[in-house]
Amino acid sequence: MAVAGFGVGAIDYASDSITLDVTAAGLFGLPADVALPRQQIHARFHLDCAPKIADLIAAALDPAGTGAMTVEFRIVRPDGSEVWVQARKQVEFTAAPPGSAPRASTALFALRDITERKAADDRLRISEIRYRRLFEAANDGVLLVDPATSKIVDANPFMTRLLGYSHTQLVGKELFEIGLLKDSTMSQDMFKKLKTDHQVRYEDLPLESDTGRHREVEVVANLYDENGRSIIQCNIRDITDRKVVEALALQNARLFATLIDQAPGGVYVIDASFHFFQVNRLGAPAFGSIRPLLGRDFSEVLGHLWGATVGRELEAIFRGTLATGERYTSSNFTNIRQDIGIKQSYDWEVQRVTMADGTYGVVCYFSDTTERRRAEDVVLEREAHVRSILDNTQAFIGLLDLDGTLLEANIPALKAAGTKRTRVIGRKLWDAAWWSQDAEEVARLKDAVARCANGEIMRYDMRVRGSSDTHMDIDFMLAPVRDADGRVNLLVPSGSDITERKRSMQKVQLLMGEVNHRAMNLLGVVQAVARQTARDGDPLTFVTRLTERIGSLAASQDLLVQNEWQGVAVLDLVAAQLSHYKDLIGTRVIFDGPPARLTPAAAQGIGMALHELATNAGKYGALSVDKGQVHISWRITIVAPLRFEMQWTETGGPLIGSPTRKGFGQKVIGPMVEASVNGAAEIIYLPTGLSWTLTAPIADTLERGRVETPAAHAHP
Amino acid sequence: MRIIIIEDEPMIALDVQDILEDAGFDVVGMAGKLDKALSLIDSTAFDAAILDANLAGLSSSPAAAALVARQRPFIVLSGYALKQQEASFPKAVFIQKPCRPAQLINALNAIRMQQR
Repeated sequence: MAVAGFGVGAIDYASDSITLDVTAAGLFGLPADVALPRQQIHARFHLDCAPKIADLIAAALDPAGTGAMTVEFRIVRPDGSEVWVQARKQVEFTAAPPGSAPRASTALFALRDITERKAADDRLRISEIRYRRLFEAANDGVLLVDPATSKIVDANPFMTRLLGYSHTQLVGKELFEIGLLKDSTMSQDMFKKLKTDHQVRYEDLPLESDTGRHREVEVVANLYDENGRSIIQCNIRDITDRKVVEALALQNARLFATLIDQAPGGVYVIDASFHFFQVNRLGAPAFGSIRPLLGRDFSEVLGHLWGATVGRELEAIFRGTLATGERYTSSNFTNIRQDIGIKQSYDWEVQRVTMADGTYGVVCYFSDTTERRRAEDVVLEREAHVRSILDNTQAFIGLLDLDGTLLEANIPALKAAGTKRTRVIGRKLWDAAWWSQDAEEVARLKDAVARCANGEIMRYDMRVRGSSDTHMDIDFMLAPVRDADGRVNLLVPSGSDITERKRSMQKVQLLMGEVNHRAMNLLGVVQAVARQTARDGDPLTFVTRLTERIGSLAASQDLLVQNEWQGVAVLDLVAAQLSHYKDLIGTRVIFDGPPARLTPAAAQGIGMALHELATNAGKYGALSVDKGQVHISWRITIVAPLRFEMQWTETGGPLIGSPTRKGFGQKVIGPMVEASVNGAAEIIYLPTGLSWTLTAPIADTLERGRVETPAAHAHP
Repeated sequence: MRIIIIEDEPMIALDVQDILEDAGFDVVGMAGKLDKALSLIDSTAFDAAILDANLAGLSSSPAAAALVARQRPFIVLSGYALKQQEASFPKAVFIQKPCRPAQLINALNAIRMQQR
């Protein structure tokens, strides 16, 4: 009755007894080869299994059935030990007389010890539960894709959180349909690549969820066999959140080993003997060309990578964590790699972990921040660049927060206020040195800041206190800076010094007014001269006389303009008014007098008088004949009150008498010139010729009312 | 009708004198500076004045004030744009330089009519 590997039992329903062979008896812990009461056997069924077995036995005894039965159950031996068995039983029925049902007569059953298999099943089940839990709880998105159909067969809850699609919506879709891959072409590429490489990796894939939320993700797809069936596992990591590495540290050693390999950063483990125990895929490249890495002495590795000094420092940190369990975090670790000669930056952290064998180890999570550091350096460099532009511009530029607190001010602005950065930064703009004395400007500025904080661009001219209590006119502007959402978050005050521009504009305006006034005045004079010329003259000579007189006015005017209305040298005036006779100057026309400058009014009056005298001399007097002479002299009297005196003396001319009629010329050399210099003109008609003497206070004749020192106005 | 002429430009003063005398007015005094003008206004018997808005670089508004105080009508001759000047010379009749003789005569005649 013994069969290898099986225990066998026979049941006799008539006597309600069971006989076991040696193997079966061993499984039940009962004697073999004796008929035992059926109840004694049934009492050995584990309570958990007994009801199920009772149902199955009842079913097998039903004459309408096949009488076959298979069951797995637990036996509790009389000594308390347990064993899992698989039982197959076949019931035999006796033929029944017609009209009554057949009855069970005997049954045979075979038992097999499946305790080992059951234990393995349990372990598998636990492992599956753990795996499922990891799958469900992972902070990574995991998608399982059937390579045959390209469709998603499973997705963990994180994918729903990431994409906003429910599990049901995800299953059955292709990757590009959920926005993970750009299009079906990219999807086909991925499958092709997976077939050859078994792994595909995409970094920084932009991902739009159904709600339009934008995420950057990293996708790692692996093709592997699962019980002879190919499956693609896609791990999708939201790399905006790099905290996952920390979560991994919480996993048990077995899972940890698998998971660190899929971690987005570099992870490696140093064991208690300070040897390289494990390194993940991303971490391995950081160790350059060291082969093999695993099992190598870690202090040797550190020295190779970073040189003896830095290597020793790092070793001390690792050993410290290994000994004390204290976590160590380092950011912005930057050093030159001795093996490749390149400067690299890392953020890293070490923690103590319990290894699978119960000893301590050290795990190091790290990420290569070299690129980021380089980008930060570029930003810093740009900031310095902008700063130097701001400081080297002429304009005043600052930065305010919304309530007017000064955050920055460039050097020109600080210089203009005669202050230092430390004395104004952090203060309200209106409390800073620029405005401290002007209540009106302060009020205006507060208003401008409030309005600018509401988005208005403010621009106006302001007067501010500059260094050493001077004032400055500023073309001031206050402009809002908006953040990405369009909210005003900063204000930029800027200004340029327009003091000089303003001053020169005022000067120009003043000059324009003055030029207009003088032009109007001169036109009035010309009009008067024209009218006077017309009054007393012969209509035939009117145009000639008027032209000459306007020419005389123009000559004096010209000198005044040349001297910027700062007076005219007497010598220049005389020469200009007698230019008609310039060939005679020095022979028949003689000048004689000290350097002296006439006021504009005196120059105009005396100039006209000289012109009338010269015209008269040319027509009737000394210059109307070949040998006559004109002597023009001027002097400043030496006794107080000082007077300017000018004399016009004609000699050698024809005998003349006093004019019968007081014409315009007479008015000019008489009352007009007297009025213009507040002086007295004396006209004497001598037999030898005309003599004209003008005397006037120097206050009314000479520029600035005084005699110039000869050196100051020497003539060429 | 007796007129005084306050004008710093002698040529214009003489011309205005001729214009007024030709038209039958008596020119009873002339001044070209502010101090002279003020003493002329004080010391002379006259019925109206011709006043240059600007005397040797100074505004002649003090002379205008003296004329107002003596209740003497006056005509302001000005080389400046009129708008700049009006505030300084309330009540005055303005004539822009250069002017036509008829403008002066008409303005003085108008004053004479008012005084009667």
